[in-house]
Amino acid sequence: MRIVILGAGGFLGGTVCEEIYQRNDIEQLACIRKWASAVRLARRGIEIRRVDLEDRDSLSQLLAGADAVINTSMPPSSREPELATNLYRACDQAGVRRFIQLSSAAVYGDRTGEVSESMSPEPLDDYGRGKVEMERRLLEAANRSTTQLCILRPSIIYGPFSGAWTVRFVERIVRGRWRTLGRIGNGTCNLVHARDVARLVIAAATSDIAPGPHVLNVNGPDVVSWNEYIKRLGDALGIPDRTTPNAVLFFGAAIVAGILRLGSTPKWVRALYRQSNGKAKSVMTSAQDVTLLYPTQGELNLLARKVHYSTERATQVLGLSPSISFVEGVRQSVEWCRIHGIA
Amino acid sequence: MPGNVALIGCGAIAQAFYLPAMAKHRSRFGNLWLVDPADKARSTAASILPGHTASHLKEVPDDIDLAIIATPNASHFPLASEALSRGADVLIEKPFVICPSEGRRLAETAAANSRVIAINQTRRLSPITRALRRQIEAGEFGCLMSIVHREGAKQTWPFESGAGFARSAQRTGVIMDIGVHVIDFYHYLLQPSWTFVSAVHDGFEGPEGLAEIEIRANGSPVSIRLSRYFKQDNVARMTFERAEVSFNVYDAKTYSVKSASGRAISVPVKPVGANKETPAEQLLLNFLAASERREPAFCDPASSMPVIDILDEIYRSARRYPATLGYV
Repeated sequence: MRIVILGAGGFLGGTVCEEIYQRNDIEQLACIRKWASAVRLARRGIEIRRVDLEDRDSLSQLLAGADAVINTSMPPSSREPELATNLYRACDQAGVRRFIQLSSAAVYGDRTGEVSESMSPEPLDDYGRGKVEMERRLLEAANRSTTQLCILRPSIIYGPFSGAWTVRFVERIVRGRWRTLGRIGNGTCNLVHARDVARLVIAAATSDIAPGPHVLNVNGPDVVSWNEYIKRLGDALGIPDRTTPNAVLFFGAAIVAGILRLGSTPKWVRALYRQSNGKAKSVMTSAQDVTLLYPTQGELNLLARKVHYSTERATQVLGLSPSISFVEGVRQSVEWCRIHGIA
Repeated sequence: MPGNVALIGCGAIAQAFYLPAMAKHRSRFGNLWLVDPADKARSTAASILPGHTASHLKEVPDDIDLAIIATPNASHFPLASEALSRGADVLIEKPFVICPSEGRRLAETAAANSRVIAINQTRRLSPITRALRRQIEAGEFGCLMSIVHREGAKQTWPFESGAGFARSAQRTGVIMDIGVHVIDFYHYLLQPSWTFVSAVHDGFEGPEGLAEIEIRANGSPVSIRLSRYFKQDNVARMTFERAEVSFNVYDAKTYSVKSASGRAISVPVKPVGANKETPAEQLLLNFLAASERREPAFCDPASSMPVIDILDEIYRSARRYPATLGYV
């Protein structure tokens, strides 16, 4: 079986390729947008090709002979619906049997409680809206296609190489000495380990599944809060003297960080930072540290949201469930961070 | 002034480093040939600095005076050998070779043809390197006790080709990419005798992105971690008998000297070069001067070989991290 993976230079794409690499029954072609993102794949000797999804003419050659295509690429939200649909159509023309598209639980926006795929999307931001529009176009195209479509909506993907949900949180816990975030972090942290997601992605590409398009949530086996995640990470890292910050002060600092974030956006501010020296540089570096330490408004909403994404349908369709426990996942994450000099 | 000058390899380093500097000193580089098998790389290079173009070195007229080799690591040796044999002085991008035998053969070829080899070990040109070397040579800090070096960030270099990431690529990972800079920097400062202790990296079946290296410089422990994945502490810390010297490797505008009493001072470094030339300009002007026998090359094979020797031992002796997926 031959699988083409798009977005292989990214965090999840890289994990999918490494999982496939362990299997003898799958031949893979890992596609990346720029060579700089080839580091993780290259170390294992995986076959890599540079592909520009904007170049439609190159797709038919790329997809020739492929049985399945996995698209984990993350173009800008404004381009994602069109690029994913173009790729899907090219798969159809090339006779690809199945197309796996990574979407996100962000399509559910601010929904709370138990959330299943039967609920309509309610995206909050451009990222979520881009995913919803992409799904809509793909499902529409799937009505006229022989390539089976499977859309996966993972929640919070953590584990080795997760920049957003492992590395950033470890850095924040280390620098901010967070024990928990108190009432700020009481929301549900829908963690799913990257390798679990990769296994489900591969199952979606290779298993015998019921005909027709599928849209499936992907979530981890344990239901924990953000506070439990932060506490367990901190414990595993062995960070002493951690405290739970005062919620009012923390919100205030997050607002200041947001203002600093906006202030550091213009090009002239960044140029000033590069050229500055001595005390001026030190002040600007401190400001940058503050912006990294405190969550954005979107993250604060996420940390407080009490929601759980049901995976019953994925288990039923794929015959497979995520199996890496929260405890084991955190242990692996911290061990990996140590090896990589992050903690 | 040289006649034919061949810039061999028109990828990212040529476009970002060599060509802008050559453009500023255009009149000193004679008849420029831009050599690269990739059409796009050649045309991009020509848009920065126009010149004749060729796919391969053999298409360039025989009488080459200067060759600048900015190609993937494994091709340095064959290209430099050919250029030297054709009578050119050569400037080679770091690492100038990927193993000691290649380095020694190149030096022999250069000597046999009375040619110059210069090497781009850019950090030797950095103001902080020169300032520290002066102080170390003057004995201001005393003997070296230890070195800790942490360097790395997510790889963002705009590679034109994927040659360095191919399964067949030889010695193109983080050890040869950043490690050669790091060890050359300390070698230039301290001129030590190097011994290997241990090394581990993640180049399971291809170029490594992460490495931890333990070596000794004149018996003093040197601990180096290099990464192409995530931001490291990016600190260089040298502990001497009488002071601890440290600086940020990505922002070396100052360095800190902490005395035995615990007092730390921050020392600013000033640009060097008569007209505040960029490192690329300094390197190229030095190469021209070395070619005209007016001054020695900043870095030549003799001063680079101890670095190539220890890198070779690191590659030969290193073990791999346990290959368990998810952990490394």
